[in-house]
Amino acid sequence: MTGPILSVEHLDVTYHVRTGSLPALRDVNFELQRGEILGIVGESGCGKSTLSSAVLRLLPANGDISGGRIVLDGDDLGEMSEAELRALRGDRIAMIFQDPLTSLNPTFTVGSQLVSVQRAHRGSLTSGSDDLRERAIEMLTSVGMPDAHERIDYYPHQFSGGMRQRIMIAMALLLEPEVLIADEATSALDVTLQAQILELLRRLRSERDTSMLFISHDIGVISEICDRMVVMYGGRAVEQGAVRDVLTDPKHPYTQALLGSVPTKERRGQRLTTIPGRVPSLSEMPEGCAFATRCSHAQEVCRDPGPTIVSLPGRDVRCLVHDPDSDYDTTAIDTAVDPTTPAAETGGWLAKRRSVGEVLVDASDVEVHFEERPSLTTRLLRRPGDVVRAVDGVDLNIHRGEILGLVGESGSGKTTFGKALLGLAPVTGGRVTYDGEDISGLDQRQFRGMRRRMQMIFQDAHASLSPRRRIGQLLTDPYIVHDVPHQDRIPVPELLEMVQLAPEQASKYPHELSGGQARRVNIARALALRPEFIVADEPSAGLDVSAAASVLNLMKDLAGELGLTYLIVTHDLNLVAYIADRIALMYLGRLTAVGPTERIFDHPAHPYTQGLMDAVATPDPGRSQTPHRLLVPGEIPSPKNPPAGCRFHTRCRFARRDSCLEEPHLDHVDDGHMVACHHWREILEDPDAAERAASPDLGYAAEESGR
Amino acid sequence: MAQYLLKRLGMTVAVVLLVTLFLAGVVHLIPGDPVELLLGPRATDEMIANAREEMGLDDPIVVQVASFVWNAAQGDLGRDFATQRPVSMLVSNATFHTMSLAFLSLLLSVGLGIPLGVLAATKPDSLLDRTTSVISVSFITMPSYVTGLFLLLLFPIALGVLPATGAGDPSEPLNYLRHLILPASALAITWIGYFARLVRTSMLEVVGSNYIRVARAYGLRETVVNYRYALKNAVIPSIAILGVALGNLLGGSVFVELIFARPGLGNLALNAIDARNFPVLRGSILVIALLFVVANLLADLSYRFIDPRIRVEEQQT
Repeated sequence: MTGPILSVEHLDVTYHVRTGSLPALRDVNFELQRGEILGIVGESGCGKSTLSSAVLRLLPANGDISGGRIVLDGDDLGEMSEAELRALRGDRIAMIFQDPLTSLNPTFTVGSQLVSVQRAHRGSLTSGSDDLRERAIEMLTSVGMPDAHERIDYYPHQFSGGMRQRIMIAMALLLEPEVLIADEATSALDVTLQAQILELLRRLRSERDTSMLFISHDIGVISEICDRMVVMYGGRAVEQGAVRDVLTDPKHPYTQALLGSVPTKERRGQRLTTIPGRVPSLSEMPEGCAFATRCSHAQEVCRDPGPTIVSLPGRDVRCLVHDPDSDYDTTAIDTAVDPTTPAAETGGWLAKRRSVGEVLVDASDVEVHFEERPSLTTRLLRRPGDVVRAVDGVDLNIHRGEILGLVGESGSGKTTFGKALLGLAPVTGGRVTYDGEDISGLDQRQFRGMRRRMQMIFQDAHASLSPRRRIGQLLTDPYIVHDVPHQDRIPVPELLEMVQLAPEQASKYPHELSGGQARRVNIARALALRPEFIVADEPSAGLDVSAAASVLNLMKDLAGELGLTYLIVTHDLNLVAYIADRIALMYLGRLTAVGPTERIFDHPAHPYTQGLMDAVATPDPGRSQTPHRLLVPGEIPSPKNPPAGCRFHTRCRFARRDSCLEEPHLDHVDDGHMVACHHWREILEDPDAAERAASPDLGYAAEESGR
Repeated sequence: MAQYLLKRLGMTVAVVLLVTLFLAGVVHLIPGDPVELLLGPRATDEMIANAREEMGLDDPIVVQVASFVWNAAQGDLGRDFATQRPVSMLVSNATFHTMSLAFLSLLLSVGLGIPLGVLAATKPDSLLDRTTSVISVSFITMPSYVTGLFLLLLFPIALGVLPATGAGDPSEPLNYLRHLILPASALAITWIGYFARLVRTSMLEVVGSNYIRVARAYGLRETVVNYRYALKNAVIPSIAILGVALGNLLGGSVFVELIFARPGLGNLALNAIDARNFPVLRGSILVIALLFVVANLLADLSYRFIDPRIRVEEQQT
């Protein structure tokens, strides 16, 4: 049989609330072809999750399909009874969810959950439980779980996050569904794990020819794995076409802006595109084009009820600009604000920045060890308690006026290191000097004066604002804490203006702010004391692409205007490639490489750097879709019990028994580029060596030791 | 697990030992001379001296304590002052009555409370939910002695159906059960309400969790999702407080035993206090403490059995 496996035809979904009906999806139209991976991309609130729930007919109780059809291989899902739908879920359409940590039932073994799913559909008539169990073991093995016959009886919490996502994928594939829906399936994972899971999905597609609906907010990931993509905005599909075409030549102004707001290495020195305003809430969704309120091309006709879909060759766009029959005046388009070519830095933030100066922060051999509270028995037996070596001997200088990016997977100790510099985590070994003064030995009281000069912007913007205090109060708190006389304070409206927030925001409470606004308040609060040095922990985490772009633009502007020094702690290689002057990479409490951004990216000399760069998903049609050759296998081991010698050797392609069991030291390559690897010369001399190096197959062993 | 069990058992023994030590010394903590209090003002010096010797009060305190602990460990709790019968016999008879009361109440609390909570959680904010919530909250606020009196007025007196007082004959199970049902209900009613509220809350939390969404998305039957997947997770907090509940039921049995004139531990202890019958009081308190400790031990263990996450943490340490 030919024709699409799944077609969504003019789908409308409405949520009924006390105040009326909210249109969550309007006129969504697409087809998923057999064996195809179709990406659905959009920012939060665009209707992605509603779409995936609608396809399974699992909408919340107050939501219903108010128009259109969903057809799975000729069967209209709208006409099915509840029993027929139940039979379909998991069997013909299976879903992989976002958070692998909470997607499995904690009180049942993995095996029993995998068997239950089969039993729900195949019953016990056709096969006994031994067969179902065999099948589960087979699936677990095929998604890359070693010793599946043994580990099938483990409980979910005994697996790492990456392994749990593999289990979810195994569950999804158990019954060989016709359609697989991956709803943000890699969003909660580290970049190396994300690459592994994408690789797995790609392999499964080529082996089984599964059709897949891949939903993500991350255009980079979409471009890595999908054949075609649908861009969603305000509950509508605004553009669809082949991934390569959409990425190279986006037609819809929203797609253009979205692509322009992704930080990449190529955009260094340019401003990121930002989209003014925010996504309209469902209750205030305009009748006409949903994007009209934020679109630089919007004209009066755009506000008339719904632009219809314009079909261009290989592309569907919901925008009047491309409709020759509409009243849209194409001659009026202001090419100067065309978002496809992001404006070069106006005023030039690089020029405005003070040149990089002397060393401001000097960390030498810094250690942060946390001792786990030993249990009564270990104390009685006088056994030493477990020590978590979060940071284990890091040497790093930060120069005045520089933006230093500190990159690593979760569990690498990067955030702890950032906190240790500010006296927010105990420095148990080594020395930190700030502007020539030793600050590692200071107690809390002595540190207070120092802290005015250095501030932290925490990762979770909302959680770091007290929910019961107004923004204005939150912004003056630092002055009260530090007893700053009135004449030295920056007035609240001025602080808000610095971070481009309206003065009215001062009377709001944190929960009334969007994620991007909350982040700005955090930045404003950090700036209140006029610090010189700021540690920013994952400044773009949890933000939509366009909100993240405007926060990054803001941070850059402030760096230029105020001569700030930043340590940006992040897992996002794209972000540091865009913004940082220098990059430091951290793995299990140690630095693996430090150097100027260009040198690190152009001549990655550490296998870990290579692996991270290979794993990062960039919306670059030229690079993506090539198989990952330098993929870092396995997962990061526990910092309680790091591997002996080079800590990376358990996951390294170059690992040799003779050399790598000895700890490497940071070696000078050139131009301030330092690498902690015994084999960096080989790697640099022969860039293809990494590909040829045999996969060590040690990844899973590393994961074991980490558990 | 074995290591945990050993550790937990060790703690239990330590607690029991401490209680025993305290009880052994308690005679000396009470103001005035216990023997004079016991025998009254008209006792002769000779009677007092005899009684003191009999109770071993002339020995050094350390010896007294040690011998009480030693004897208690062998099951000898001394003799009743009044009747000279061994305390252990009195206590063990009473323990049977109290334990059957506490266990039936626990069974009722769990057996009625959990389904009530699940029922309320299946349709939140429905009429059913609101009705059960009114019922359970009013149950929580009802003290067992009030409920007991009402049940007494309603069934045996107004309707004349169930026996009013006494414990019945253990050798006739049906008769014994008929005597047990009213006191057990009186005692259970607070906990029925409490379990219903607790299970409702945790059930709603679990039903909103991701893994339940996943189970639905994989076409598992609603009954499997609700009663196998959700309930197992939702009862964990309830099991955690089972030990507390049992202890509370044992303590509450004093009132109920008094109202229904049941010869249980509560009544025994109460009468012993009245008569300043120290050996009996000590014995009954020791057994109550023992029951309490064992109940908590069992609840802890079952908690670990149901929630695998805790099991593994133990294995790792």
